[in-house]
Amino acid sequence: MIRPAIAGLLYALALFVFFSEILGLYRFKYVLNRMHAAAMGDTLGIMLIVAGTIVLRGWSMASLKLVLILAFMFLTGPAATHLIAGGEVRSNEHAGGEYTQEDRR
Amino acid sequence: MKKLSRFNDWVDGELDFPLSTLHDARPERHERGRHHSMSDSRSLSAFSKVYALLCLLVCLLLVCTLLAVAAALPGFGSEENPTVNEVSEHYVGQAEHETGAENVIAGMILNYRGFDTFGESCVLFLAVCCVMQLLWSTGAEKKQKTDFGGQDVILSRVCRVLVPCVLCFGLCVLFSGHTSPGGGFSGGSVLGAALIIFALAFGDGAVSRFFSRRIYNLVRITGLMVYALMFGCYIFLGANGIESELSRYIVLVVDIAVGLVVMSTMYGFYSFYTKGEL
Amino acid sequence: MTGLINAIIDNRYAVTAVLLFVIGLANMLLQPNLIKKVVAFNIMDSATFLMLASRGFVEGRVAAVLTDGGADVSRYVNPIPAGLVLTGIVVSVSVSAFSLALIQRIYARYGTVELGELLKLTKKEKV
Repeated sequence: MIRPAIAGLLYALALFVFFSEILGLYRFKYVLNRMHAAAMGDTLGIMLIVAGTIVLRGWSMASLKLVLILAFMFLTGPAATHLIAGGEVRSNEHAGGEYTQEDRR
Repeated sequence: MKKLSRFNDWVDGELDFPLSTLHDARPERHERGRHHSMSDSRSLSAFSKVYALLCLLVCLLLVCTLLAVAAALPGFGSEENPTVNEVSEHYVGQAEHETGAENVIAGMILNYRGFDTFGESCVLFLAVCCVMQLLWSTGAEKKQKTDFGGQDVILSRVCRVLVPCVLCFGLCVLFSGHTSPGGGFSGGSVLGAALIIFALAFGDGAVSRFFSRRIYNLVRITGLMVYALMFGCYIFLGANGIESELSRYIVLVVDIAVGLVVMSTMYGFYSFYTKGEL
Repeated sequence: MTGLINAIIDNRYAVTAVLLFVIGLANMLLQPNLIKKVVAFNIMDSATFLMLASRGFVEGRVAAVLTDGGADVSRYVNPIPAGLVLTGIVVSVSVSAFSLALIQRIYARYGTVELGELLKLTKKEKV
């Protein structure tokens, strides 16, 4: 009984994270803020989902694979976000300094 | 090489196709003057309105027809589906005995339908050739393209961990295609992805050290040739008459050949889109 | 009404595939941007693959990779649509790559991928 409860809690947290991710993705104006929201959801939300599934199903070969997926996501997600942000910084001439109103749009 | 640059000129429109009769029409159009262009653009906008209406009509008609057909189909997952017939029963029932592959789909596409898959590999090969001809950059364009690879510390650190894992996974998928899910197409694309990540992280020079244009062409052509030869010999020897162990070996070799073709295709697309050469 | 809803639920994947296909077709016909046309083409491809894959499934059966159960015909789904989808994916990748290469050439020459501007530019060129 305790296992599904913990898993459900983790899933609910993950849903909250995904909800705030999508809210941030649509409501923020500037590209770096939006990217921050998206990357947060990608890493934390997926971590919570995978952790919940591991708790729900117990230790087995499948949950070992899930841990591998978790490690892969943790490595690749932030690196990809970092690269996209680098692209924005490289292509935007105002980046690093003050942003004009046009950039924020 | 000279022919290729002439082809490039023709694609760019700088060179006319030799048997052009369009030349004679050109001065005549020049004389017609510019006042036609106004009425031209007006008729163009009118045409685009009619076009949008017609498109919507066609789409609505199509969606009605297709939905009516979809409603009349046997339900999802039912056994009365006409596609579940004696052909698929034969594939599932006899595949292990006749092809030696426990993965029925691999046995099917590489053995029963081997020539079809050979055609697919040729399609990939030709796609790379077309992209190569279209995007091969000439000397002037080449200097503008800069190599961003190898500058990013975070990316190169991550890739030092990631690339060996992805390579191992790709090889695992490639080599176990006949006994478990996987096979030449999926394994080859994972290997190609590993190459692309490597090129992104450590610069294009790092890849061309062990995967130069010569080796690239060699791998590409060897894959297709091995496929053609092995499968041709297999068919010539009588296909189903061969005992199971040998034909499993043939499925594995053909799978690896397909994987090589797919890998070089993926890397070729990346290479030509980013820097216009290999 | 219930009969219609039941028919839709019975064939939910086919209905989704039809809707996706028409969305892709409408975008392909109406989008002025060439890149978006390629995206629409890929949506149409995905719809076709969904249709094919859903036709091969049989309730309660597993994927056609033989396990300890041996070659019992009634245990595995139909393998033919999987092979057809594989063929389709290869062709779709090749066509997308070819059309994107063409679009890159067009952009290098005209500096735009909007169809209307391209029509104007080519017309100006001819005059």
